[in-house]
Formats: sequence, structure tokens, C-alpha cells
Amino acid sequence: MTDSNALGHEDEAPTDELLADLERLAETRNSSRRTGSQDAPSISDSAASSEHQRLYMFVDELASPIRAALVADEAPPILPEYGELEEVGRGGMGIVYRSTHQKMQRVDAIKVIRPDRLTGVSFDAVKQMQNRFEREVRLAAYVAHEHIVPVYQVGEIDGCPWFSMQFVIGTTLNELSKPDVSNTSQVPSPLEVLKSEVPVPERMAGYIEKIARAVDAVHRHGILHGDIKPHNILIETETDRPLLSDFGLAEFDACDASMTSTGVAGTLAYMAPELAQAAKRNASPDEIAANRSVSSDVYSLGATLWAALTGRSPREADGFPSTLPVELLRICQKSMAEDPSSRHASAKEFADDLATWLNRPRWNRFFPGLRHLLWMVVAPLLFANGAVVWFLLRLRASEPWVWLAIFVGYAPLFATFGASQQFNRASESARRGLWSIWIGHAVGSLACLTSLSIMFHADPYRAIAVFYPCWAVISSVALFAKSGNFWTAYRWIGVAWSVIAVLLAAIPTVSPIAFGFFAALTCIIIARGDREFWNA
Amino acid sequence: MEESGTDVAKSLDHFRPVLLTLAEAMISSTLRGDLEASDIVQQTLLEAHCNAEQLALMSHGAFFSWLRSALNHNVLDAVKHLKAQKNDVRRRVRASDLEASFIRLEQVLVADETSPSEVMQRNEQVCIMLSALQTLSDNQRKAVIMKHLNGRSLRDIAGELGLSEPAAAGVLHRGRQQLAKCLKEQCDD
Repeated sequence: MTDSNALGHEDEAPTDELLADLERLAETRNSSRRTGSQDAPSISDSAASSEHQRLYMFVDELASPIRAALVADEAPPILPEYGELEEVGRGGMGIVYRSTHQKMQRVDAIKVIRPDRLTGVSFDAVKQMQNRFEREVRLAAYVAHEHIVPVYQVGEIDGCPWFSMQFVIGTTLNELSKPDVSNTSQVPSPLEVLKSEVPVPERMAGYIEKIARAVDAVHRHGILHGDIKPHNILIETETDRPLLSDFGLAEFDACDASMTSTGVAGTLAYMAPELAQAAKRNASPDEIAANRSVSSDVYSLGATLWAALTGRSPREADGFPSTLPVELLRICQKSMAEDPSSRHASAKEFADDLATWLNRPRWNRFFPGLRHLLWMVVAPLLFANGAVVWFLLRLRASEPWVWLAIFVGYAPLFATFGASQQFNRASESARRGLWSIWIGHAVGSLACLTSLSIMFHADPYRAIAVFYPCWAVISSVALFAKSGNFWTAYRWIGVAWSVIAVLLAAIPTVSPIAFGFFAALTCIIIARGDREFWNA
Repeated sequence: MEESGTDVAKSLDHFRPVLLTLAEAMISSTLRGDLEASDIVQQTLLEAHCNAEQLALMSHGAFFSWLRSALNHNVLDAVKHLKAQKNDVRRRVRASDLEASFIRLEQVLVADETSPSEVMQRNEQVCIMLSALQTLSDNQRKAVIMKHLNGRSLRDIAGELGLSEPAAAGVLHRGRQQLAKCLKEQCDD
């Protein structure tokens, strides 16, 4: 029965601090062994640790049959305010129960952090996490938002934090986004039929857009969620309303993910790289909390959108399916940029991007090639406009006619913008930006031409010859301005127009035709880029 | 008759520390202040004395089984009595949980081994270990029971004993050393 090797050596006296570390490591190793994880931290090879490990295993193996009998690990906790707890779900970190609040006679969902998930974590660290959890949940409870699951109560039972929240009848976004979720064997309800009429990308983007607005609401109150993922988004069956849950649990999840590999698929996959790295190297709760920011939540929103669209987390997926809209891929890519400063500046900006795509004009939704077509029509018109101006100059036509011909070129351009505008709240700022740039372009050009006419009042044709390089410079500036909020390729087109300005100065006699040609070429480039942009 | 009574008394002395450890492990921490394991064991041993004639005819295994059953009933009675006395919801303990623990314990001790000798050997091992635990100091015993019989974490143990985590780890480690030493001595004997 006894093992002589297991006996302690009296001459070795490890410090209590070392013993506490060894004890926690042994707990973690045992916990990992139970969950089948391969990521358990290794025990160092010192004599003290070997001695500790031998003794631990020796006593633990002897006691294991009785422990198996005495420890009822499946028994739900007893909460004073609630009746019998009925388990309804189990995640990597917590167990969800359903129970009736005795006084309110209200059915609540109760989430209890699994005690085995906190093994190997020091008392102080857990206490810190619990305090922060309670503070964050209480703060989140202040933010009453239609897309946030209301939290009713926070507490602690046998050292395990728990909280009660609204019991949402529905499913999680994670289950909904799985490809095999369509239960073809059952007759769908009328609501299901209605929902199925909405294409999947639109439906998923709609959920995430609403969740992003809820996240923005809590961000404005100075609260970070820290653990946004499809598992934490509930879709209410009756109303098809997405609800965000599990505020303040990020630390427990990060701790779980860092300690065992079971959490990787559920949490690290949706975690911003700066947080994932901290979690992987077993950073302290304080360090993980310090790395959390608005942009890390934005990253998680992007990763959640990706998973909702593809059914797999970004780390599991081979790539973005070509059948899905490229615009959504761009939104995901921007929000999931490695560099936090390259992501959307806020959850609202992310939501606005999604709303812009969701509220794109119907013709654009059903005829994505229309904008491309319009640009392709505008291209020859601009070239023709340049040719007409050149012809009028050759004819020595009167100055007002030449001016009119020059500014008529703006008509097809503005007509295109008008036709492709997206009149909705989300795109309002973008719409205003676009019009400001191009109206500014037209007004600047008019001012420039007027100034040049005054300067060269003796030779108005000389003024027009000088005007074209200036017009190219104004166009270059306008395209640079557009590159900020729109397509980044506008930046390079802007550079090209600076070169064109120099070229036009060198060939004053044919500058209107050359200008028209380059304007037409720009339209064709934009049309091609646009087709790629909207190609669904 | 007197001889059989002496045998029963010897057996009860043998099982006393075993029952004490079992009772300490079965009584949850929330009840520990109100229920004394030694009182429950004392009552169980008293009942055994009253049934000495019947117990004298039993085999070693059946004797231990009878004691476990009596201990279980006494623990349950004590918990029910406490519940009736103090209607404090924080101290609610499901009788079904305790009963389930006991049933599992019986399954472990009267397990599906093929030979009765293996069952005996296993029970003897369990008895020796549970008995050896009573030779440890109070804190060491509590720490080892909480750690290895109740599956509690170092954090919980430190909280229960009112010690810092390093101090609790030290107590636990020394308790294990002491236990291993005691077990070796018993086996050598």
C-alpha cells in the first residue's frame, strides 16, 4: 500500500511560497487531466517539486475512490432566493441553470462559474476577478438597452461567482450560424418562413449591427465587454431580437482559455491579438484587463460577424467564401486588423459600416453592376466634353460658351453620385462628405478659372490653357480627400493626377482633350474598382 | 458473551478513527460549526454497543458496513434536525445529496471486484488511510480531507482554515508527509 519513494525527506524544507506555487500547478495539472487538455503547465524539475508531486499523487490516488463517492460534482448549488435549479446549458466556463425567483415568481437564467475553472488560480487573483466582475456587471445593469440581456442579481456561492439574468427563449448566434442548423425534418413555423426569406448575410449582418450599437452604448458608459463572441449573443425566438449577454465574464474566460485548450475555440478565436497573446502567456488578470480596449471589442465584433457569416471562427476558417459579399469581407478585415489603430475607431463606426451595406439602395442590392455601368457611361461623356472644349477653343468660340462647356462636364459626374447615393442615417456622413468634396471641387475650379481670367484678361484662351493643369491639381487634392473615407486606391489616383497636372502644363494646346482622356480613364478605373467592391 | 463484547469493543476502537474521518468528510463546511463529527461518531458507536450481540456474529466487512449505514443515518438525522431547528436557507443541504454520497460510497467499498478478498483488501486500505488521517494534527487533517477527500482547492482550504495560501500549502504538504510516514509505519507493523 505504501510507497517508500513517496515519503518526504526531512532535510529538504521548501518554502511555503514555493509549496503554494507547486500546489496550484498540481491543481491545474489535475484539472487539465480531467478535461483532456495537453496544455497543462509543467512542474519544474527541482527536488522539492518532485517530492511534492510524488506525495501529492500518492495521497490523491489513495483518496480518489472515497472522493469520487463524497464529491457530487454535478449537484447544482443552492441559492437562497431561488427554488430548485435546473441545468439548461454548460459552457467552457459556466453552467447555466433555469430557476424561479421565489419572491418575484419570475423564471430567470442563472449562470454559475464552474469551480473547476478557477483551480490553480490564487485566492487574491480570483478575488480581484470577482470584484471586477461584480463591478462590471453592476455597471452594465445601468445601461438598459434593448439588445443587452438584463442582469438582475450578482452573488457568490461556495467561492464561485454567479449572476441571474433574463431567461431568453431562443438560441445562440453560434448555434444559428452552424451550417447544419437547418432542421429540414420539421415543419417550419410562419416566423421561420419569414426569417428564411431574408438572405443569410443580411440577417447575420443585421444581428451584429444591432449588437454593435449595444456595445457602443456600453462603451459610452466606460464599460468594456471583453468577451464578444457568437456564444454570448442570444437570438430571441419570438421577436428575432439579438441580445448580448455575459458582461464582466471576460476575465474568467480568458483565465480558462489560458489554462486549458478547451477554451481556445470558444474564446481565443474571437479575442484581439493583443489580448490573446496576454492570455496565452498566463498574464495576470490586471494585465489582461489593461490590454482590453474599445478596439479589442471592435475586433471581437468583426470576428463574430465572420463566424456568423461562415459558421466558423476566423482562426478555423480557410478563407472567406467567395459567395459572400466582398463588402462584408472588407468590414471584417478592417475591424480585425492586427494593429488596433487600423480598426474601426468605435463600435458605432463598425455598426454604421454594416448599416451602410444593409441599407444600400434596392437597385444596388439586386443590380450590383449599376454603379459600374453608370461610371462606364460617364467615361466617354467626359472624354467627349474635353474634345468639345478643345474644338470650341480651336473655333475661337466666345468665352462664356467655353466656360459652359467646361462646367457641363460636372453634370454627368453629379448625376452618377446622385443616382448611387444611399439615403439613410448611417451613410449620411459619407454622403455629405462626398458631396462636399465634389461641390468644393467645382467651386474651387470656378474660382480658379475666374482668377486666371482676371490675371490673363488680355488673353482668355491663355487663361483656359493654364486652367487645365490647375484643374488637375484640384482633382488630385479631391481624390486624396476621398481616399480617407472611401476607396484607398483614390490615393494613388490622386498621385497620378498630380503627374497629369505637370503633363498638361507641358502640352497646353491639347490639354482639354488630354484632361478628358485622363478623366475618362479615371472613371474606368473607378468602375472596375467599384465592380469589385460591390461584386456579390 | 463477555468475549464477544470485548471483540466488538476492539473492533469499534479500530473503526472509530475511520468513522471520524468519514463523518468529517461528509459534513459540509457550512454545517461544520453546528455539527460535530465526534458527536455523531460517538452516537454511532453507542448504537453499536447496544447491538453488540448482533454485531459479534458479523464478519469484518459486514461489521464495517453496519457502522457506515448507522453513521449515514445519524448524519442525515443530524442534518434534518438542524434544518428544522434553524430555518436558514444558507444551510440548506439536500438530504438526497447526502444519500447519493452514501450510495456511491457503498458502491466504492462493496465494488464489483471479482473476489471477496479483493474487496476486503481494498476496504482495509481505505480503513488504514482514513484511520491514519486521525493521527495528523487538527489543521493538517482538515487540510488533507478538504484537499483529497472533498476535492477543494488550495484557495478554499486557506479560506476555511483562516490561513494565507502559502501557510495552507505548508500545512497541507506537511500533513501529506505525516500521512505517508504513518501509513508506512502501519504497513511495516
